[in-house]
Amino acid sequence: MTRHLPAIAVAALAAAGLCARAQTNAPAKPAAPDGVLVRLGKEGEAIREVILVKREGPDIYFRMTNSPPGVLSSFKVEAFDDAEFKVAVPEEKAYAAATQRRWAQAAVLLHGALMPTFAFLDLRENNATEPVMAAGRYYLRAAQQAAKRGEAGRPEAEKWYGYAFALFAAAGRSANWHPYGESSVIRAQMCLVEIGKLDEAAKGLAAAREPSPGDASYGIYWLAKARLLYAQEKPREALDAAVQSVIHENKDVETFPDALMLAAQCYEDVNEPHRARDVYYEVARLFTGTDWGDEARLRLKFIMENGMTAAGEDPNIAGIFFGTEEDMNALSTKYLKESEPKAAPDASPAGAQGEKP
Amino acid sequence: MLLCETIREPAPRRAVPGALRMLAAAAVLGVCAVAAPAQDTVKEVRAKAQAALAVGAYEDAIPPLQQLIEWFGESPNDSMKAEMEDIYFRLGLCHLFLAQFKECRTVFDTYLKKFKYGANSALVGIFIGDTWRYEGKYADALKAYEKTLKAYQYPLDMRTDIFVCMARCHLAEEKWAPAEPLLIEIYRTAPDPMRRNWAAAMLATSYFKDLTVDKVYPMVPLLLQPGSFASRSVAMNMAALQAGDEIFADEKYRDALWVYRLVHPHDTLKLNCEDQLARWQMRVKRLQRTPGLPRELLRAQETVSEIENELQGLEKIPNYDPELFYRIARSYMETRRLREAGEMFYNLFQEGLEEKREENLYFSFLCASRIKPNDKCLARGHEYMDNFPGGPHYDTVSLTVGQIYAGAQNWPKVLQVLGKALEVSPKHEDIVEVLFLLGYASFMEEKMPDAQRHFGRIVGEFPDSEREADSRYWLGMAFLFDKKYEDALPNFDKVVQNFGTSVFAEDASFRSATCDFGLSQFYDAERKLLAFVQRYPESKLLGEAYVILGDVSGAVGELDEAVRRYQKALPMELNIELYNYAAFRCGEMLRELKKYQECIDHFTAYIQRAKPESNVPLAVYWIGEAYWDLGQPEVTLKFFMDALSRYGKDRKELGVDLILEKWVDRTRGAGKVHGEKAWLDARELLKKALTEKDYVLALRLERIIQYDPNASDAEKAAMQKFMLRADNLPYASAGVLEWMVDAAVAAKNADLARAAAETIIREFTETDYALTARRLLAQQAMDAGAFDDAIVQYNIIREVYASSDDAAQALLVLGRLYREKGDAEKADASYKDLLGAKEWKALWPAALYGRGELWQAQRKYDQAAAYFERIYVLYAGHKDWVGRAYIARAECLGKLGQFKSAAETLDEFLSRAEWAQLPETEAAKELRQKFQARL
Repeated sequence: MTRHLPAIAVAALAAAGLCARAQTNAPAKPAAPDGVLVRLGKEGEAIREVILVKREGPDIYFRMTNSPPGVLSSFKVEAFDDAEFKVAVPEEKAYAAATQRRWAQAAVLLHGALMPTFAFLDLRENNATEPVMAAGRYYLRAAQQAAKRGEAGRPEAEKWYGYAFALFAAAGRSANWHPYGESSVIRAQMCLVEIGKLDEAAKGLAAAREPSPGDASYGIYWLAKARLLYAQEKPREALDAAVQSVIHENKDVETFPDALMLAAQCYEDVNEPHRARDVYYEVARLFTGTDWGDEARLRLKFIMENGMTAAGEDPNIAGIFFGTEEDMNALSTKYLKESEPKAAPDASPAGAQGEKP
Repeated sequence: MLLCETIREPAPRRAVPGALRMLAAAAVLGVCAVAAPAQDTVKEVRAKAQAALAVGAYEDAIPPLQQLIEWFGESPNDSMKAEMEDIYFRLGLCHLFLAQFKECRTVFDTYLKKFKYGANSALVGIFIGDTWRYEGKYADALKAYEKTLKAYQYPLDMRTDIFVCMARCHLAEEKWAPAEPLLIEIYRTAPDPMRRNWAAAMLATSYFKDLTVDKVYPMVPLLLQPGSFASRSVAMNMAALQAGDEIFADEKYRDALWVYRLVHPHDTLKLNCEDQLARWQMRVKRLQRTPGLPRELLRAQETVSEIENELQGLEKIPNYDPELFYRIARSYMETRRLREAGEMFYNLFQEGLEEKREENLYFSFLCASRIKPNDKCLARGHEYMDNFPGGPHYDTVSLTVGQIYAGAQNWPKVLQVLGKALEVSPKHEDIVEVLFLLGYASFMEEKMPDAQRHFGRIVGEFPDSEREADSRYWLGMAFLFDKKYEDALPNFDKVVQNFGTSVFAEDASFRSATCDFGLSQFYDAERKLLAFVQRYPESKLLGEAYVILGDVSGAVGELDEAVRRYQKALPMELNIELYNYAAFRCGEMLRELKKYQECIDHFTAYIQRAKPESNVPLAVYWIGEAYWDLGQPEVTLKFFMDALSRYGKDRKELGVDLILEKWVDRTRGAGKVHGEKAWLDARELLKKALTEKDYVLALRLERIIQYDPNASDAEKAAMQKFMLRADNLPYASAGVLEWMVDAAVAAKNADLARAAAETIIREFTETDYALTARRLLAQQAMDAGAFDDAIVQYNIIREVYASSDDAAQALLVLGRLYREKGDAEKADASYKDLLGAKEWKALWPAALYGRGELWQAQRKYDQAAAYFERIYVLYAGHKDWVGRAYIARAECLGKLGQFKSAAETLDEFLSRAEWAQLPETEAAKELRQKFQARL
């Protein structure tokens, strides 16, 4: 199983232009830092504590903690085995906000603290990459949340998608060492799809390696393709791509429910409401207390209330194999009745990471 | 079952002493980083302790630390008390890292007595619990944890840590019930996803064991965190696998699917463990160089130990991946998620167990066969048939693929797939259906002998099959379309007699009558058709039945009855070909019966009914002719001119050109007055057309004015000059274009002739006009030596106008061209095609001569001689070929050294008085002398 690909890293760097543009609008942008303190480790050598100032290509420029600001030296990115950025990342606060689905707040908390590290995320085994990825995901969720408000939420959604793109592109630098670095590059392309830059996204995805099943980026790659195809109004092809994602990547909460939701939407679009119902039911049941669960429940309700699955299923599909005796219409109705929300979803204390057992 | 034995959860077991020893050095280093102030007498002892701790020699560190306690342990001095607190703490940690848990507790107990609210008291409370836990004394550990929880106000992070430790105590003894509330509390309140995930995974393990999977579902989002405990927990994954098996066995496929999907594949689990081990080891290294975090380091080291245990446990578990994927695929299939199932089965076919490849591909195909579009199904079906010819599901797959192609009316593919299926599986389980589809596809491809063979097998070999009635009907149709009416008839009759309820019964009774008609058994046909129209008064074939009844009457000379029957048919449902046929046959008969006015009324009604593709100009033509027959030439000419005025603007209306030609003809026989008037009318109409810029009509009229007896040569020449311009091409009708081709050739304007011909081919492709055009293009190509281009045109002529004389001529030319190109095979095929049609008998000598030349070119003179001989023996009347044939045969015999026979051959030719005048006689005489000289 392959998990790294240099080509992806190249793509991430190429996207840096847009990163910079998006960052300039970030609400939590701190003052331009003079550098970032880091502890660099190498097998058999003492830890070195230096301030990283800038980078030019593969060269990272630093100064010693006791050196004056203008005195810089440089090293190559592969010179060290691990790097520990000494930045105060409010991870617990961000996590707390995320559990309450205050996605933008969670993202902004991390974004501001981590921004000085963005240029150096290709340093192996650094401690900032994962929080940057998390911040990207939070922005993505914030954007999806805003997009649900329709046209009114569109400007906000686009803003968050822009930030998400920037963070994923930065995290994509880690594709040379982090198992999810390649995924971040692809997520960045997915953000482009959401803001309507389809050609750019298509180009980015075409440049990406097509992962093999079992690769960490397999699910997100096919999900991104599916989203692109869907945006290009090709729901049948999008469904096929989403199915690839669903069947091969069902262990990653950052991919799987999105792929299921897209598959369900495609099932609706290709006029297979029974399958759409089944998938929405699945998402509603398995992702209760999350944005996906709420959305799936709404779509399931819509399908059931409009009797879209009232008519019997195509006997070509219903009458084959060994045949389960499940009455999915009855199950869905029962579920909808039992899960009738008592309060607005956003007020749920259970948070976005699942419901109370 | 995928697994038979329960895998114990390794995570909550006691920490491995080796790991604790590793921890010791790092932890002590961290502690030592905060050095105590030096004193002279104590300095050495302190230095000893510090040196030992610095190199991780914690055993050596204990005596000096104990010495310091002995000296200053009871000191009332505040600063010394503060130092002692730190010494006690470090001594306790040394014992802890040496796994000297009893000694550790003694030290930490003393610490708590002395420094109940010291800087590390809360931490020490936890460590005391840990010592009991590491010793496997879980009850004591739990008491210690509970005690410290009561004694101190812990922040959420540490409180969560204590809950985790307590839960581990219960889990180590497999006491799930007391562990559950603790796990739920951790799941709810832990400030980080890592411990929440751990709790969720442990809870899920418990619920999987109890098969209470509904309790697992709300935790799914947390269980699916990448890099989490759940992603590498052997216990949770094995519990899920076992639960999935049991639910699957209960045929609760949806739940089984949801549970199976939580199971990480064996390979992934191993990879996740290895990844996480590497990352936790990195974390340990980081913590080792970060002072003041002994608890974090302890927990990190514990995790490293756990993961190492996970990896060891995993080694003992056989790889369950193919079976897991298979069951997930099956669950998708059973819950009708056919796309997902199909893809998973396909992957299993590609990468799964060898012994299940066939089944997996079949299932993938089966799933794909139920979803649209069909392309994937077809691809999988072909892949199956290629990979597993004669496999267990070969018959089902081949039939389904054939049916899909049949549904798409892709008959060549039906023939290909099912033809092969019968080769691979001669006793196909659905042989009747296969034969039926093959027969039907052959019929649709107009391969009637094949259709007859397949349907014949069904009725012959499987007489009582469900397809018998259908097959008999289509067998009859295959014979009917092959004009084998005698063979068709009994099949249709059998359908009528034996399968009266068949959907084909009605059609068969009609077809039976048409067979009789085809066999010229007109009275049988009439009897059957009259019975048909009575029995099926609502039949859609009623109109057609009356048309044939009309034909029957016509054939036996009952024209009045024929007219009546045609006219009865016309308002009924008829396709446009039959409708036009009946209408014009009826009109022709009315004219033959000299019922001219009725003929006019008939065609007038036809024009008024005007259906799409009605041939109105032809009807106009017949009306005009009927007026002529009524002796009203002026009306005929005016009627034609009116029609020209009405329909002449449409260049695509071919009938207009026909009317024009007839009009010219009729002007000549209409008498001087009417004729001149007609031409004046034509000129008036031309003037009007030019004024209105109606160039299509104008060109048509200018063309016929070429035939005006009153037009001067100068006028005609001027008009020709005007017409022979390339910019007229877009306005020229087919008739005008044809005229332009001829006129341009005559004017030696090859470019315009070619352009006009190309326009005809492009815009009047399906008409006979195109034949003229293609002939010209072929000729031009020949003249220019562009033989390949000529071959293209001649091939089109022979294919599109297959039954025309032009096709025969084209074959002849093709034979010659291919011979010149050295392609003897194609040349011979062309000649053979020509020799295969009796209608072209006039050209057979030429074709035989061509075949003879082919053999001659290959130096096979005896065969060549035989062909030449056939010409003068069989077609002696064809004088243009006889002389050539004699000479050619004599030459061949000469080449073979048979000079005597050669001379005799020529003697025979020269002796016949009827051929004495043929141009070949002189050459024959000369050749004869030559051969005689060689004798």
